[in-house]
Amino acid sequence: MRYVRIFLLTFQSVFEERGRSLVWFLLSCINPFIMMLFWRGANISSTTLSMITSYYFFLIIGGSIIMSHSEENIALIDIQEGRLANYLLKPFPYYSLKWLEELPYRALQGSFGLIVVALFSFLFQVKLSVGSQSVVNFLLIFLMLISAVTLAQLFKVCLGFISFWTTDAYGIFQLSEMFMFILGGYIAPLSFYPSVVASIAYFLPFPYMIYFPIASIAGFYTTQQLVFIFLGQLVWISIFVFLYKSLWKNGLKQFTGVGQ
Amino acid sequence: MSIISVKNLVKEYSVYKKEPGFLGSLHSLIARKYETVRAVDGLSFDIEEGELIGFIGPNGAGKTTTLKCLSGLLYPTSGKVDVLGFTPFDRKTKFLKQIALVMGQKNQLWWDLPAIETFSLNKEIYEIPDKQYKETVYNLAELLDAKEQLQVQVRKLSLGQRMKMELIAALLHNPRVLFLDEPTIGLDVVMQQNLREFVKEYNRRYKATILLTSHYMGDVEALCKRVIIINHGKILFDGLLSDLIRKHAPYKLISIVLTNMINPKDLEGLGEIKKFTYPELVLSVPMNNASEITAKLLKRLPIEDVTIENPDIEDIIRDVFSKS
Amino acid sequence: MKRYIKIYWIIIKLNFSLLFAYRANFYNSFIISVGWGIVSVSSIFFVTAKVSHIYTWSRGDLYLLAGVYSVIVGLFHMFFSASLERFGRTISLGMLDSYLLTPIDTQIYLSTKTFRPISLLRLIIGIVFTAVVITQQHIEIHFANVFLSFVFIFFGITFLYSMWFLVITLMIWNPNLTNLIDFLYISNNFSRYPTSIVTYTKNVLLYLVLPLMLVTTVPAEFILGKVTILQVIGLLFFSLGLFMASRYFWKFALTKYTSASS
Repeated sequence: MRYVRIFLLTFQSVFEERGRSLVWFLLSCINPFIMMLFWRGANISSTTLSMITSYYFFLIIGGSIIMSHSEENIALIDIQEGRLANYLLKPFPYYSLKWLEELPYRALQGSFGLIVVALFSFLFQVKLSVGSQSVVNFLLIFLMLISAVTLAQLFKVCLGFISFWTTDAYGIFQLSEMFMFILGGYIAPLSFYPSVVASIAYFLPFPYMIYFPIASIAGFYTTQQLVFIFLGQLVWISIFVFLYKSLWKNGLKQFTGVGQ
Repeated sequence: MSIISVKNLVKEYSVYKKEPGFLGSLHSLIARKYETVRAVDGLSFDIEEGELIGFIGPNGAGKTTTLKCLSGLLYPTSGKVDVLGFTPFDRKTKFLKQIALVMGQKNQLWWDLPAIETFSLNKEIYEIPDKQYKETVYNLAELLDAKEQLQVQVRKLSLGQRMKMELIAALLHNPRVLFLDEPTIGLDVVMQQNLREFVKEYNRRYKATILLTSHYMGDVEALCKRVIIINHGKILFDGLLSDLIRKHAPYKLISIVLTNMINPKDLEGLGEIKKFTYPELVLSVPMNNASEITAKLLKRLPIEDVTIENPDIEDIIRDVFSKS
Repeated sequence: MKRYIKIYWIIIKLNFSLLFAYRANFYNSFIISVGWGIVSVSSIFFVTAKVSHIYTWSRGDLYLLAGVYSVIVGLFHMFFSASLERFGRTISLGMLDSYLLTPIDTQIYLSTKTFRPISLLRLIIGIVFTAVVITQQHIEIHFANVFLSFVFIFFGITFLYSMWFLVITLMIWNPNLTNLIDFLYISNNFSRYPTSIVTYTKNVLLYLVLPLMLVTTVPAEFILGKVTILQVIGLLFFSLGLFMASRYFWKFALTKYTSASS
């Protein structure tokens, strides 16, 4: 019950900030939108174009559901201003609380995404294609989405924890945004990149949060490939769980040591 | 010719009313309710050059709003405001070069640089001649006892020191009219005292007209001859502080320290007993007879010490508000 | 005018001392400026790796466009974006008062108070990249061309500036919308691509973002020698029109300004 309570309370404040939420959402639309226009002029086959178009549409919805922005709050409010102390006193694990706080935002953004995509596909007569996929595929994709959300949240929390050690991690946050932008698949599907860059990206965590799940929905992959990607996600989740735990343990020592 | 003249000034705001609870939030997503609040409601007053006036009222009385209308930040809903012969809201360069508004917590200083750097920028903005600039910085810093802090990063200054720097920045151009909004808020007692001295001296030295709002009656009592009391955007009293006291509290308090116990009945007819816990005794007596009664008391009672005081100004103000 | 130049000179000096006031501050600005500079030029390599043309634009043309874009945003970030970002924050914190009481043009003051020296690096990345593309593509270039393209760039920056100022002025009504600033930073990306991606769709709604694309397209096409007079007129018209609009809107907004909630 208290989970529901916390969820509802945050939901309320999300609604209070309706203007802000809308702007945040519009923000996430701009780049996919430009790129979609860009590809329409490219000399590629019409099936490829329709795959790419679907990719960007799913990116708008998926990106807004998956990508958390909690690192700045963690760094500025929780760690630097010392709000973390309040969390520590609550009989509730920090990670779960952060998770619950983030959820309503994701839900709201996701629903914005659905509305806008519906509107756009109506206005521009775009048909979204998911390729020809089996039930097993969809089941796998569903699991991948859940892991992607988990991975993204874990990644952002770990990123925020850097603030335990440095007072101003803004540059590092921006650096991660840059990697996300290029290697996470925000600009374009990685399969259109130079192969060297793409294969480097596959060994990094970024595409497992955004690119792979979205491309899977758009029907880029076979069942076998989906299984591999899902396993890749699990590997990255375990790496980040481990990282989270050690950062948390050592970071707290810093936190209490400094006394905020 | 008065330097500030305000006629029927009205300023209204519309305020968003949030409905409580989860459903309320949902509802406000679709339709929001706005309410019009009249922060200033028909104020009229005139101020002469060189006056130092206290603007008193509880939170939300409309003090700050009035100051902001006078300095040109806010566009009045209706009414006429004239400061130094200008309509403040036009914010003409000539007008802005002659006024300053200092607000307790707000800052115009560059946080990561020493204050003197901000001053050098202000010097150009206000087109202050070199000689006058150097003199003013020197004089103000000396008056505020803040010469050492000029070269220190603003971030590293204490609240009181920062306030001093704010003041210097605001006064560099020797404004003829100065609006001070809660200048002593958050300062310790010593700093409050220093700041009062400073304001008084500034008023005397530069013949500046100063309008000041404050929560601390101490500020007003120490500085202002004339006070304007407002509440709910309306003027309750405008006149000399001494008149206010005479009108609302025509009595004085005589505090006595006794050497021996006395019978309270001896005091009948002399005044009202405010407090009597041996050896302390406080009597409230009519203002006109204060000295006469004191003489009688000295004769009748075994007195070790006696002081005559004006009633507490806070009580008087409270009295004014309760009657309004 | 002389007075404004004097004031701006002091502002530049103060901002240089600010840059080195904190080490962390310096590193962060360095990462952001150089990082995004690299991202913005390299991304054009990535998206054109497997296609050769976007409408009439060849890969090489697109590289040039990316270079010109870097020059434009480099200049824009150096002279305006930091001030405008701060302007937004100033409104949201309710600190506009002290600016309004300053006896100089408030729009100018608010738009120039923060100069961002580090963006010089991004500008240099842009210039070097553009120069390399021009030599590699064997594009003929004269001094007059360079001069005129900077004139177009000037109008482009005027357009970006006016758009930013107009949007941030909206915050007077809703000071909570601090993320409008992020919105603007990302909107600049429209200028990274040629106008053709909009004109070929023939969609009326999309023409709304066309002026933003003119910002880079006009100087780039000018260097390539394929700019049309209509595009040039469009750029001049939109940048001057929007600039006037920003001034009027600002004056209007101030009559609605309610100052901080005190």
